[in-house]
Amino acid sequence: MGATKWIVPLALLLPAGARADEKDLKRRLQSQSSAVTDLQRLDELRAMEQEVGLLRAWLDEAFTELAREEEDNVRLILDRCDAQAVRIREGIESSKMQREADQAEAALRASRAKVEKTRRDLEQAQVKKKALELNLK
Amino acid sequence: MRTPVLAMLLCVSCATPPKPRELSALEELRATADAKTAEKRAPKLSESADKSLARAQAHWESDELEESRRDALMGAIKLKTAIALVEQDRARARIEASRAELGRSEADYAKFAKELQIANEQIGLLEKLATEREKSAAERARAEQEQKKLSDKLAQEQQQLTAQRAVSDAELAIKNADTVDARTHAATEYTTAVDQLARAQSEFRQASFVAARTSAELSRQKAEVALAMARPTFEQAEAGKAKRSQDDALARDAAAIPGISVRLERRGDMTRLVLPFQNLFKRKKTAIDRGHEGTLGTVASLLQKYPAYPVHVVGHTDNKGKADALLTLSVSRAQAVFDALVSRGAEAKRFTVSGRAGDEPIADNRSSSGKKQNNRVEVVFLY
Repeated sequence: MGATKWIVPLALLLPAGARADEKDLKRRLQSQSSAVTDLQRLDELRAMEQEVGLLRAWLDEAFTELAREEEDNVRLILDRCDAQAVRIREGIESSKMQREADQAEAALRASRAKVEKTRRDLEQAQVKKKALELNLK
Repeated sequence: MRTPVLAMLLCVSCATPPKPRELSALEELRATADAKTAEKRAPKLSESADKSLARAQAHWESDELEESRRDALMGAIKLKTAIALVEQDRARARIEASRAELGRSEADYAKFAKELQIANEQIGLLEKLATEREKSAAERARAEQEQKKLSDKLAQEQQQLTAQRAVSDAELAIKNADTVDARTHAATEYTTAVDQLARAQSEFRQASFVAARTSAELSRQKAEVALAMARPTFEQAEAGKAKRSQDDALARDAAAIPGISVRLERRGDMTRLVLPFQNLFKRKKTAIDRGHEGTLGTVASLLQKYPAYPVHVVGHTDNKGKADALLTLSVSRAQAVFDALVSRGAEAKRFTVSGRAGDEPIADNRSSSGKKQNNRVEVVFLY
């Protein structure tokens, strides 16, 4: 009986709470949708293309669940999308850093090659100089 | 028959459902070394991923496949995020290491480049020096070549001069040889000398100065030999000629003396120019009679004019008287003539004085004119 006395007020309150939830979910969904475009733009190297694709698919799934008014599912999917967005940002950062590392290593290789060439040139120059000095003695 | 089918259905219903692909993927990812590393780098994310994995496995075991898949996906996302952080750290470390190494490499490059620049500058200077030396050596060689040319020219001129001088010397030597008539007296040597001279002149015209000099020297030597060979013969011939000429002059001069009839006698190779003095003495006297000073003076002058001839003064008598007396008379008369001539300037040492008495008459003693002719003193030029 105790529990029954709460059912009516709850039933009255539920539609208003559910509406607020739905609104919030829509806002989150909308926010995630626009964030995808930013992420895609940030992914200059297209390293996270597949991950972005998954994110889009999950957002689409969330929209479907929202239409079916399966808010819990929407929430779960949105949580996953949030995590995926973070994962994509870190992935993009990681790819950029790897590219930067590749470039730094390439620059190092180029520099080493330049050093090696200069060292060889120097050796040859010293040999040539010695030969000239010998010839001039 | 029903029992095994039911048992089988029961087993199937009790069996674990197939593992969702997402769960398998997460498990595989969790087993990687990167996932282990991520535990330290991002412990919260790893922990969260592990929780998701545990839930996914629990849902799978409870046959809640959708929930299992959902948790596996979340776990994978978290774990991948953690791994991305690990990858970032690695990339950062690579960047830092590369940059640090790049700094060292650039420093090395700067050092080598500077050394290379210095070496190249030194090489440039050495090459410049070598070029200058080469240029200098070339100039020196050119100068030496010029000098050599000049030397050669000078040497050639010297050779020309020497050859010219040798040719002149040879010409002179041949002219000298000509003065002793070497053409006649040393014909072979002289001809050789002339031929060699002609050859030398030809070689000289062809500018073969060394050969010209050699030929000219040979010509000169031959000419000198010819000169030496011809000289005695020539001089002998010339002396003979001169002597003959002098002899002739003497004879002419003697013949020109008035009152004396000179005669020329040959005795072998020797010639005697006899100047007979008659009527110089009175009968049996040894003193020269007066009136003969002029003749004696002329003879004395003749003696002085021809000082090279030895002179024999010989007294002769007729045959009237004793032989000893006649001999003494002839000698005394010869001596008197000798004295007279010497007193007139004739050189005494040229003379020999003798008497022949009447041994060499020139006329018949039976007549008085013959006797007069036989009493005589003869001044004899010997040659």
